Amino acid sequence: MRNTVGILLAGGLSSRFGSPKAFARVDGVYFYEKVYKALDAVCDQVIIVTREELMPLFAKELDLVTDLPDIKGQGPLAGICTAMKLRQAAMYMVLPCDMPYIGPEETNAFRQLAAGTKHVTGVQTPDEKIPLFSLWKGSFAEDLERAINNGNLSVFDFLASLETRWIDASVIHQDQGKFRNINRNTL
Amino acid sequence: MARQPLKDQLGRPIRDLRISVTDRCNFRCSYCMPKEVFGDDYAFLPKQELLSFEEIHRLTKVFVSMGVKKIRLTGGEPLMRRGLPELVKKIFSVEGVEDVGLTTNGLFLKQQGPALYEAGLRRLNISLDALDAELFGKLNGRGVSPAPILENIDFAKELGFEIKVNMVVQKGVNEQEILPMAAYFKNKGITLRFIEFMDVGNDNGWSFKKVVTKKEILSLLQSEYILEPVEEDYYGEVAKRYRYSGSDEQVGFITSVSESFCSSCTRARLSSDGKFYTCLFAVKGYDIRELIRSGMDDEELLEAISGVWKGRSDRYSDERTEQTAKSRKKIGMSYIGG
Repeated sequence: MRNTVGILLAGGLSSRFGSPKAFARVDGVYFYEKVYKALDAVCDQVIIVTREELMPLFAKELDLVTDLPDIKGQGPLAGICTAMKLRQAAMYMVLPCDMPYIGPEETNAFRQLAAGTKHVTGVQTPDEKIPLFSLWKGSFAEDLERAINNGNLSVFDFLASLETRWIDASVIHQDQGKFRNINRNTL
Repeated sequence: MARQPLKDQLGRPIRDLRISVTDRCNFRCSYCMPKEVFGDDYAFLPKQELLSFEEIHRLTKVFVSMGVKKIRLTGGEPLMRRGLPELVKKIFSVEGVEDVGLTTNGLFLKQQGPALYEAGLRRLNISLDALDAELFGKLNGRGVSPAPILENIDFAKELGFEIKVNMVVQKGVNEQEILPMAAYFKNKGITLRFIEFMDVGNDNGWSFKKVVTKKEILSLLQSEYILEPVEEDYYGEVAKRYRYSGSDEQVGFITSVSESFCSSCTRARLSSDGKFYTCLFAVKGYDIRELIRSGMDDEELLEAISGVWKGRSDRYSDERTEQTAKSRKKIGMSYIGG
């Protein structure tokens, strides 16, 4: 069993954004490449959960999967569930492709700070909680599947059913801009 | 700009300048920046109100010409200020600066330590009040365990920094951590300094009852170790130091409450928005930022700042009572940087 698997969520519809966010660029680099690097720095392996039609666009050597058929298209919980089912690990770090300013420094600090939490650690800024920048202790695939099958697709609701701890973004990096989640194509 | 040595009303020269570079911090320690006061919606100073690096550089030159030799960078948490290594370089470029130190909670040393070392910084004081994970998480108000701090201390030591660890001791809160902390840092060859809990600001619920005095800490340490006093290194040294017998390892005590050191206090303080304070327990600061931004030249600044030092007569800790601790409207610790 691998120690830590990184789950890169790149399957969103990007409807507010207008084009697939994974392939938007910052400093000439694709969002997904930035996020991949951040996860790769602290994980033994990174798995990218995306959609069928985007698969050909990613670099060939990457570990790409799509949602498992039973839970297809059911949002981020389905992506996390899929990755946990397909890749066994003691720990999972989740990051969405629309947080391209998170780098290896931040994932490193986050992993260090999240040690000791029972189930899930998420990040919070003064403005919002960011459940998709999170560290999961062990696989919650079965619980996730159950929630999805019951139609409970809210990440917050799911985390509320576990022991979740929120870490203040300011202890990870002094620049809160790092935690920006890019929803709109205004770069 | 060399002048006659400047002395205040009580004959004390100015030697040290503590510069607060930001009023922000990522911790919420109850004795400095309690969560109840500094919540998520607390309005910290906007950037344009902070002294710029250029302004700090200019003021450093003026202070050095008055007699300052040592600079300490504080906050808030100074590593929250963007580009800090650049400021360190600027300060080192001032002729007459003999020493620059930085006081930090240590959380961002992994990220910023190398650049700070590169910039010339060699001395770090790292605040850590407990080794117990749950207690430390509670004390810092962010649930951060001591593990990352300890890791960063090792990391900084490997980079070549000279490190001291500062522990604020509060009765009934973390006094049980005194011996474990002493053992841990003795073993690491790092000087640990015990700071008596002080009534800085008005937010920390201070009273004499919450103070663990140097005498009490020392006698606790003496139950385990043989300690011998060490001579002071220089005039105005704040810490009273002891050596573990038969070793080079030391502990220090900052005894602002039980053995005040006002009579040899050579320290001035500059807040992040450019107020000049002549005492940690001051009520009022002198707005130097306004002077500098009004277009004063260096000579005029020197005249104005020297005037303030000459008029200085503060000796708050000599005169402290429960009454002054409560009634005096003092500036906040996170604002003035300790």
